Amino acid sequence: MKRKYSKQQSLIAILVLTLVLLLAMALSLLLGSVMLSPAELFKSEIFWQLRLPRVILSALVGLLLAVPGVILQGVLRNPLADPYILGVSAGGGIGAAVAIAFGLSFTVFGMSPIPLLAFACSLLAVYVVYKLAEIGGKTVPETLVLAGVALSSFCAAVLSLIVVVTGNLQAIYFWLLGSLAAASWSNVLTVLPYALLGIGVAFFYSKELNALLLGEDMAQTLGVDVEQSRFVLIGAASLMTAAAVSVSGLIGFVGLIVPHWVRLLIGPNHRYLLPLSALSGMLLLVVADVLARTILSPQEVPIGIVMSLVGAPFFLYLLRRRRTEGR
Amino acid sequence: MTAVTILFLLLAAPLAGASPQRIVSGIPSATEMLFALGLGDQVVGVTTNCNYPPEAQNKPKVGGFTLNLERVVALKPDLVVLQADAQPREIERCRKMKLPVLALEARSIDGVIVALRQLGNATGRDRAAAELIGTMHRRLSAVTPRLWGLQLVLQRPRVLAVVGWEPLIVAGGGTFIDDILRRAGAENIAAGARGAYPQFSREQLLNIRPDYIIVPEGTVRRGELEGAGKWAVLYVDRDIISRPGPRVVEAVETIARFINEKKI
Repeated sequence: MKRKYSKQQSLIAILVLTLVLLLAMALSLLLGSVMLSPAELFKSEIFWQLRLPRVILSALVGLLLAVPGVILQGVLRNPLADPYILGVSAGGGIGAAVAIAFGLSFTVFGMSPIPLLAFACSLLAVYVVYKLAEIGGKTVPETLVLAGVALSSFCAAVLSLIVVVTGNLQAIYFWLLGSLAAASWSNVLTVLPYALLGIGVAFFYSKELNALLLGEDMAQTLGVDVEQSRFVLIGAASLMTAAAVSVSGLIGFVGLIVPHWVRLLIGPNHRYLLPLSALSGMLLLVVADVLARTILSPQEVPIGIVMSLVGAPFFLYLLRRRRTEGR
Repeated sequence: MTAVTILFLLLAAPLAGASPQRIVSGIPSATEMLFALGLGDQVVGVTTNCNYPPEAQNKPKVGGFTLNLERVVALKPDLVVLQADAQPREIERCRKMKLPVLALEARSIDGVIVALRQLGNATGRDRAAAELIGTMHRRLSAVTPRLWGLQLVLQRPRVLAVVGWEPLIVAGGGTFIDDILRRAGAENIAAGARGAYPQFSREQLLNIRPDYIIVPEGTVRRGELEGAGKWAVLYVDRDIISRPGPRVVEAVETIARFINEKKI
């Protein structure tokens, strides 16, 4: 079978998607529940303090979810892997619930308790899962996934218990559905390093990711230090996801579907898969957040709902079309 | 000394006189308080849940459970009224935008009264607030004497407030409804349960045998509870029994009247 998409075509795709993303971001700055004329737009604090940080944050969160999706699906060689599969969401949920339920209030580096605890507990959960799956100095991908799933359901039970005992259902529920309503410049600055560092590490390791797709033994034969690259990649993915979770709650779907979606379009080479997934994730979140902000205005729809409601059918359509064409 | 006092009064007078003219209410209870203090004209934004008084519904909307900050900012409010215990995140978001926030703390009937006084103070309506509080106190104490007779103190009617059916959720101790029940002269038999809104089993319900069951309208289909045991069921307007606003007095009166009429 001849390769369907050349290097050139992939580069063109990256360029086009970048342009579309910039266009979408520009457009989404104009849309909101308050209509501003171009003249007053740049003078208003609604634009500078609310809309601009929110659009930038939505793009960053899109990247922070899509890239870990690519990494984990590659490292774990599991098509169902998403950024939450190793327990990030479960840990983050408990952190946020504790902060909400006990009404904690303090700040560290300008971060308030909810994102801070969510971030810390997310990483703690992944660490526990990773340690659980480590047997004789080696981590087995299957054990990793199973440990993640088991710990997640344990954490979900703890979370429910917190909700039942403290009766803080509404606040915690809204957090679990995900929202970018609390976007601010300090949030943007908090997650920016993770986005840059994460995509950098992932791109640097794209050869290893390609090799791991061929199987552990083959990767070893090709000269890849499997344990080390696995550790670095999973670490980077977890940090990125935890950063996203800490500012936006749980937004499903992006990390699971975007990598598949891009793979359907350009194939499995991580050198192109990574940047294209990052761009698609950003685009998807920017568009979804515009919908979240506007469809039921003045009320906001949690972005997680918008995402799955619009994204899932589109993905299914793409999947069906590819499969029938390929016959 | 007197000179200083006079100077202070002169300086303070314009401050006290500058009452807010563009008020945004971020929660239904605050909307009710603002209108009750005669500030309806100054209210420029409410939430989609603010349905009382009816004219509040004509005001521009600034969001539902979560506030739409763009809308709030666009209204250029000189006061945003929120509820401290229910909206910590909204308060933080508004303060970040440098909006003047008044966060009311109202978890009980006394809390409502304190909140009204605070709100009156912040809006230059101290007189109106004092009058309203006076009326509330009078009505509340009119409820109590009849019920605080010796017999009732020894044997308060045992009441359960059912706030969820399927699963059965009741109002526990320390909740707003718990306070209403006590003011109405009843004993909340779920007050000792663990958690603010504990879940009960149907067996527990039959076992503890409440004399009266208080249900916020719309929680349970009518008729379902009546047949299940030997208790009297009262349906109360959901908004007056759950919103820490001035109408809480109505909830206390309704429940007290019901308990007295149907004395077992």
